[in-house]
Amino acid sequence: MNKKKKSSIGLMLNAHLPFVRHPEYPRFLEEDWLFESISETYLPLLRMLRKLREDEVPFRITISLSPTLCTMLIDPILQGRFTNYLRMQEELGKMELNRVAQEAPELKPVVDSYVARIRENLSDYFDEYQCNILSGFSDLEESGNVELITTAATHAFLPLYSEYSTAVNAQVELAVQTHVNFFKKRPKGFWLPECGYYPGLDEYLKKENISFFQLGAQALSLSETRPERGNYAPVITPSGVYAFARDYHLTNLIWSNVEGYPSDPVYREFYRDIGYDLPMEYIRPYIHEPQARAFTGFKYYAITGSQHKQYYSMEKAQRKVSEHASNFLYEVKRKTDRLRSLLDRPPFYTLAFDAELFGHWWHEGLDWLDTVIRQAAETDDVGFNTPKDYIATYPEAQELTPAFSSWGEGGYANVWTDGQNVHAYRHVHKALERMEELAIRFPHQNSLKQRFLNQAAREVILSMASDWPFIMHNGTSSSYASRRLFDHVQNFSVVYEHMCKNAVNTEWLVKAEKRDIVFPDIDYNMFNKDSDRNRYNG
Amino acid sequence: MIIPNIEALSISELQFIAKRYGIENGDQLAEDDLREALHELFEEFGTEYSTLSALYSPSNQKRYFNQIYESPEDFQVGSLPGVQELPPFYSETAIHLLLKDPSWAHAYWSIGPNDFKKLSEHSQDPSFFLRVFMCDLVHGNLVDSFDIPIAADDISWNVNLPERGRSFYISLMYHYDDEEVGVLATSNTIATRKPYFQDHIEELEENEDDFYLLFSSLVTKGGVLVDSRAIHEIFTALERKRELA
Repeated sequence: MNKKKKSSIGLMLNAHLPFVRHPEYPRFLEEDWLFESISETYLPLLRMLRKLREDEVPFRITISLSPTLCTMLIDPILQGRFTNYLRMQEELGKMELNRVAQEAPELKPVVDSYVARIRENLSDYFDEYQCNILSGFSDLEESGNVELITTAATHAFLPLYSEYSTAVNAQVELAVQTHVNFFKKRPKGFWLPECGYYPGLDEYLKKENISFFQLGAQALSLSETRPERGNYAPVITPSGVYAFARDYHLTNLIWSNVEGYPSDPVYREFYRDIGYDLPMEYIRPYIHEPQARAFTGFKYYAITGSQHKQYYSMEKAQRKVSEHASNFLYEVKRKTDRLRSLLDRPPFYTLAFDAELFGHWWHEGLDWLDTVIRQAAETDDVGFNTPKDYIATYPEAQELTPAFSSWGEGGYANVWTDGQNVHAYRHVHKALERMEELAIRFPHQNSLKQRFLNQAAREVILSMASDWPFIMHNGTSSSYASRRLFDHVQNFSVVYEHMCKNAVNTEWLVKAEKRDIVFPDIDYNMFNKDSDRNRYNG
Repeated sequence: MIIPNIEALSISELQFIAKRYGIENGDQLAEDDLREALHELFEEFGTEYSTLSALYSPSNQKRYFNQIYESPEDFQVGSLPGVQELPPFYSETAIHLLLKDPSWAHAYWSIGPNDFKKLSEHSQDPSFFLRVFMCDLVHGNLVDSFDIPIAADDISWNVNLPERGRSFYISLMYHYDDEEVGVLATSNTIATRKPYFQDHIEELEENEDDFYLLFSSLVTKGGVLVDSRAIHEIFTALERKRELA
């Protein structure tokens, strides 16, 4: 860490999607979540980071790659489908070039930029990464530009499972195990899903030799102990893990649809998409069967700030990117100047985001980030560092237990326990209790019964994903989310009912294993409360 | 529920949503009338925790979102052989408590058939209630308790937690008119912590530098506080103190 810098930005990006894979359908709408994220965020992000490295711009950032996302990224079936998606985008791009030439020639530069991105994506995906983009992230870690960390196995909102120690333990252990399988090294950091923390959670992280995790902005201020350095330095929890609280002030310059940069009128409007705007007979081949209109990624309007949208101007947007990058660094400098006399060390600003904000939601977000990193490199005001760098330089930290908190609406667990989703916990909790019961009644099975019990553990872990209650809360795709959550609990019940009769449903097992390819090395014995064997030593 | 950005949507998107939510003649309404109708519709839905700062929460960003609303077509996730519907609740007598936030918990319970049978053998119909026990966080001593009447067919309840820095548990109980009272099940214990600054507001009042160090990272550039009821309470108490001074 460069000690000449007056402050540090700890940028943490969480790349995560729930496990969605439906080979039983020729195309599946919710699989587009993955394809949109790869083409609009992950591949462009990798290009941006590699270019920074090539230009010898100093930076270090932290990226969390969730176990479910990693599994989907290397799955041959989804890789094949993403290839189809890219080819379809390429074809639509050609159609659009012809169409706008006739109907709206002023849009040609925008279509050209989309077509260029699709071609770069095709080239990177096949030639650079041979369809495995995880290798791109590994490469950036090897060069010291990126610190790869993990998150809970299925991104469970852990405070709602605090009564189920084996389940929390399984979410952490499986995450670390999966990270080791993919990247051949143990992660030093752990992204807490939804910044969800409860006192005691750090003990599970310590057990897996995790050094740091991130928190919601209010977690330290609501502690029973006075936080001596505010959110500008990490604290160390009683179990010895460092905790970094988000800087809400700086984060919301970026991540706010009210006053953040992405809401500027000249930036591209996310919602206006030709998937909805163009006649069905034109767009039908590029949306979903039979006539489900969906986003295509071809968007031509600026946010504008009124109902009568103006066409998007890349030139105006790029000028604004530069202006916003300078403004952000000015805000950082102003804050650092004010904090200098109040702290015994340079402040560390923790900025934690969903990775998909950059590129997917905020079209110009990656350009903005690139500009900020380049401009920051030219001054002594601020550097981009990781929590690991900071801990190595300033190991002394105040001991403090953060408060129960999250980054969700209301600041606690309300998003995941509202009227739309709270009924699910009765079933997921019961499945967890029964999983513990099975692990104790049938320890160390082998062959078919072992596979049967492992699949039960897989189903119950999948049912814990925070994504399903989140989607049920926000009302988009909620029937899919509800179906998925209860489907996993029902599948768990198949094992429970059969094992109570000391039987195995082989037909179900074979099909379930084929469908749920996540966590191939799962060991159901991790749900045995009485077991003290040391698992997953990496 | 997340309210869609009505102003940003095209006429075809607006018509799609109108159809989904049963607005009559949505495809024949003028664009402005359609927007107005949708605004009125979404106002009716309301939200459980609607504050300005809620708009700033990452959970309000529409992750996993590739169309305006889900497909109206029914779909089937590939079902596996031997899978059965889940029961609405399980055949056991138990009660569980989940901490939603420092002021609210969610309780869910079930009464097993054997207990129902025993209760029905009495000459009178039982009444049911939840007894909420509030205890000292350190020693576990009972500080207070209160009852919440529930109906025989209730299976869950949101419970207000009156104080912070306490632990809570709940008993699911019955009673008869002849005053016989019994416990059916007792929940797990949950704890709420009291923030340091709840009892030390004066430390923030006295020193402006300390206040900046400890709280400047919790406010947006536009002056909106982080979305947390406890933080809002601390700020409100501080403002009140300053006004009095």
